[in-house]
Amino acid sequence: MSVLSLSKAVKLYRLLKPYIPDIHQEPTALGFVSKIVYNIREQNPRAYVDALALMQGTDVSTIIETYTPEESVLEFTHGLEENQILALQDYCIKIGL
Amino acid sequence: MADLYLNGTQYSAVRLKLRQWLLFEKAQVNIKKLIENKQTDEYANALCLLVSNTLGAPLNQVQDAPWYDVVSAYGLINELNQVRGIPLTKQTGPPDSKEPEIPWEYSGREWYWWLHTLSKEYGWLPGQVEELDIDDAISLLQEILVDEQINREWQWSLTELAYPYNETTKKHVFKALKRPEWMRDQPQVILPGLKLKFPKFMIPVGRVIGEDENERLVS
Repeated sequence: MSVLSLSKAVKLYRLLKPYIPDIHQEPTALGFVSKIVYNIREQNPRAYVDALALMQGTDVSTIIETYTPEESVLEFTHGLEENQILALQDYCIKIGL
Repeated sequence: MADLYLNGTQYSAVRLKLRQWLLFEKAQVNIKKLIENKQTDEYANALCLLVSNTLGAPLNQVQDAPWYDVVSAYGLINELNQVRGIPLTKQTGPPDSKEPEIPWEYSGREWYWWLHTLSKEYGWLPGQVEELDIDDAISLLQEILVDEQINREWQWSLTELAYPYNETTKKHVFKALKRPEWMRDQPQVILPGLKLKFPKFMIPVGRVIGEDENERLVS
């Protein structure tokens, strides 16, 4: 998994935005990422798969065929870390997204 | 000049000269509009194009680079191309939401306006004007505009319009020509509730008009 380009990173942020917790409620990076994963899987499984496909640079069907639910969570978490989700959120808020 | 990396390749960011800087500023305005309109794909492409043009890096390399490399490159380029605090560039009021459109406007006119203004004043060639540092260009422009304003004020003071008749005082009183915002004194900000104490010897004696505009007698 490689770090996303600007255009894809902005897309990722827009997908994740509704599920990103308040940083003050989840002060640790691990807690923050875990909360995103929890929220998006609970509230919008389709957005979860879309976001994972975006981070993997593949399509939704490949994700569904390739990963078990547990593997997908690991990959998703890894993707968020790799793409520095906290910094991405900070940047997107700064530009007014 | 500052070095930076995009996808592992080193580039040097430099402060742009006038002509390039005008293009850079135009691209910045466009980027701002795109983000205001939430056109995120176009925003990302415009930002990559700006970084690519400024660094001389291939566009596809910038588009494929990690997002934080591109964003930090843009931040660095932006910082290098800031204008120092020249009064002319200070925004004193809210920006005009509807700037009047003029019939002779066209894309890219900014450069010709600068070239015309500076070469007319100093007799410079296009090559000399386009190589100016932006701080120098704006400082010189400010001097040109100050000169023009002072001349205009002088001309104004020679006309009858500058001395309107006051019905109350039965006199013609000089009315100064209005100066542009950046040439005016900055209004002093007085914090509410802030009371300043002065030594007694500094306080005027006699009939005084206070800050509440009431007249009182001080002894």
